[in-house]
Amino acid sequence: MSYFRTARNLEISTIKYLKDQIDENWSGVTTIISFTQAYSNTIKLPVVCIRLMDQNTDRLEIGSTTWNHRYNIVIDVFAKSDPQRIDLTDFILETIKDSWVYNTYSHASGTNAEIVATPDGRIMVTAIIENGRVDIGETVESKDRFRQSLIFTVRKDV
Amino acid sequence: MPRGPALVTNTSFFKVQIKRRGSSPNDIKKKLRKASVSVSKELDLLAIQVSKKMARIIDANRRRKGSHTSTNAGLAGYFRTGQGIVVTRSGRNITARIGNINELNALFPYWKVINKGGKPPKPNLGYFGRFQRPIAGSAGTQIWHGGLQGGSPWANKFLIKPQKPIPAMNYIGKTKAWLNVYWKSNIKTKILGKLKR
Repeated sequence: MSYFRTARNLEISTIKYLKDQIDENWSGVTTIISFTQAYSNTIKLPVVCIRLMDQNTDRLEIGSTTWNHRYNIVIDVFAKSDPQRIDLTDFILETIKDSWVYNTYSHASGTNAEIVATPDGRIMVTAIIENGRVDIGETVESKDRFRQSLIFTVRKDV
Repeated sequence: MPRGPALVTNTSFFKVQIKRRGSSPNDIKKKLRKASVSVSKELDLLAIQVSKKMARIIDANRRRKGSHTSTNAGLAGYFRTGQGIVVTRSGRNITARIGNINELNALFPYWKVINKGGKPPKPNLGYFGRFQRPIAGSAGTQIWHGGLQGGSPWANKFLIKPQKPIPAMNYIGKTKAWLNVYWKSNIKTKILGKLKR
């Protein structure tokens, strides 16, 4: 079996959790992982783009050889209107305030046709880094018009 | 207790606020007065570190690695040289700001688009070097607007309006996230030490 590493597991687990929650509570919202995909003509608004931005690492404690990884997730909400942008962001914030399941993903060596998820702990938000409307200029492209950016730090329980 | 960094949602600057609770007001005043110079120095240094970190993140995420990486030109150079760092003291509050919005808008009109990604609102000047002229798209979808003639430095600059979205670099968000960790693991302890003396 081939197993994904922690960062990839964490990103996929987070996307899966949020996609499930959004699909369950909203209709017509597309959840994607690729930023460029959000601007595709074939994908209609509203779009939620979730991806792992980067990670910060330091020692868990002085003298320890264990790493303390913190992962930064960025979510871009491309909405149809301002009220929708605010509501969707608020929903996501409420959804991430509790922890969610961390899965270890694996597939049979040589083929990734079937990916198996095995629960292996939980993911918790430790800090909200940014949460605000994206302003990139006066005459913005239609997809950027009602866009919100949410960045938060998570960690896997140790 | 030192609290912070208190990060504002406006992505233009960082705000670090220090509060101390527990001791009597007179004790707090004496200790703060005694420690204010060294704490200020620490925050000045922190502002420089944050600015340089931002420059490193921009350099690391640049698509076109060029001379800007080694010289102090461009957006990364602006942060690397510490331009736009302003540290102000008002009472017991010390605020360190990195990046002046007016300067950034005037010097680097693309700074917001690079940070958050997306399609720029209007064509911006791009430098393409002598042998790297951009190629025009087919009729009606031209992605550049010709070179501005008149000799150096304008000869190789073109007004560019990309058709594809610019990927989000999130250099401000990445720096904030780094600062969050660095504050807790390093600066907070240093400042606490100075206040306890």
